[in-house]
Amino acid sequence: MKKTWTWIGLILGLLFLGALLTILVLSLKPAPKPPADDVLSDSVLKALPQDPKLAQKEMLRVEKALAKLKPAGQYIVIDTHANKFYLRTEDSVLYKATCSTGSGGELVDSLTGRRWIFNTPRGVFKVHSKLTDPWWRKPDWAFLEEGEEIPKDPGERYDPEMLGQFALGFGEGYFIHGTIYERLLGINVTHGCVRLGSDDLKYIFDRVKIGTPVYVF
Amino acid sequence: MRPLRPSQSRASRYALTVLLLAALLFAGCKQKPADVQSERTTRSSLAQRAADVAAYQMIQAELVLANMGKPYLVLDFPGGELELKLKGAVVWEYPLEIASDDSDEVRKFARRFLGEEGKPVRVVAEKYLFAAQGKNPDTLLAIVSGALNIDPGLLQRDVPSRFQIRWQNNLILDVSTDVVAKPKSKLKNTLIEVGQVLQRPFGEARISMKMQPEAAITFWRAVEVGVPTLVRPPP
Repeated sequence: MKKTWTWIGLILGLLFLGALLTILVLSLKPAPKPPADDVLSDSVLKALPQDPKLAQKEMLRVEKALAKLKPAGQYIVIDTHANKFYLRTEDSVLYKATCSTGSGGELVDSLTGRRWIFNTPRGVFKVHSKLTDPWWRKPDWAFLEEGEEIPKDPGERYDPEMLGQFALGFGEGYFIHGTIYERLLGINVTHGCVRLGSDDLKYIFDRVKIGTPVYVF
Repeated sequence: MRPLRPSQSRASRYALTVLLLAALLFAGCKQKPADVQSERTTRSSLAQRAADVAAYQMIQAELVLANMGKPYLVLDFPGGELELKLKGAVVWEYPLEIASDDSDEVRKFARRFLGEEGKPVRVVAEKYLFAAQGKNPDTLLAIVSGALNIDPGLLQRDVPSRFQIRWQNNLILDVSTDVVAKPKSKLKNTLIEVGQVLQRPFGEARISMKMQPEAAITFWRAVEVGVPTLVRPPP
């Protein structure tokens, strides 16, 4: 009798351990393979010349090359992660505002299969245009999103209020503009453009020239 | 002139030898500081050369990263800044104030980061969020996502309470904020912590810092796995 209970205890113990191990294994997803740590291969980094004069010349060359990449004056930074807008120089932030950037949402036209992903493009751009009282030419997705028919008359596409008082184009059809939904600033609700509150937009519009670099990350 | 006697000539020879020795000794003594000087010069020029080589490597490395056109992280210990850069321009920065105030720990981290080859760049291997809270109330996001027909998960932003950025070679940057938040998974957090304790005897370098919640949102999200990281070691 005693032996039977020992066996039952052992089996129950093993079952318990098995269950515990299963939970552990299931809760731990296999760790993804870490990316290779070889961004800079040996061939990329050159050795400094032994000759002091040549070494100095080479140092100056790389320093100059790096400095050339950096913006010389003020530039715009758009932080899509925290929905923040900065006007800054290399050393200091001149102006900071809350903005709204792309939602990352997706829209598919069930009839044609056309697909849009509403992201704010990341990278380095430049202010291409400065518009006062801009009118929005609604693209096809704006009608599809509302469940409306795409108009045949181009005149029906224009909306004089949606973009606010000013707009700064930074290429590929993307703008920094105003909004009638200021309560949503700080949330990623746009279709890719960058929305600012009207006071912030006026401040920026008055101080930014065409050609000002725009860094989006 | 009277010829010298043999005893006199011997004496003069001794005197000459002594004089010669004295002269040699004098000359030797005179030369010694010059040797020291030249040795010092050699040593300082070697140190200068090593510093120049390190600076050259650093600039070259940053030039490569800047030309990639994607964001990269800079841990600038001498400048006391944590920076995110894009094409060489600073797009985000935060004071790099290490919580423990232990300069040895910082040196150990930098040394381990550079490794034996002295390469100043590694990529982020892993990141882990221990605890966070949503930036926007779920009720607001439900309304907005309904109106825009977007998944509310895309609209939400985590405000981290604590997270870690890790690089290969057991290098850990532990960041915490004042935000009080529920752990994402108590079990996983414990397993991660236990795993790190078990790994510690095999070598680890960890630095911890505090961050403002708003900055932590950007830092947590922007520093993705694979982001290149450049370290400027402390002097």
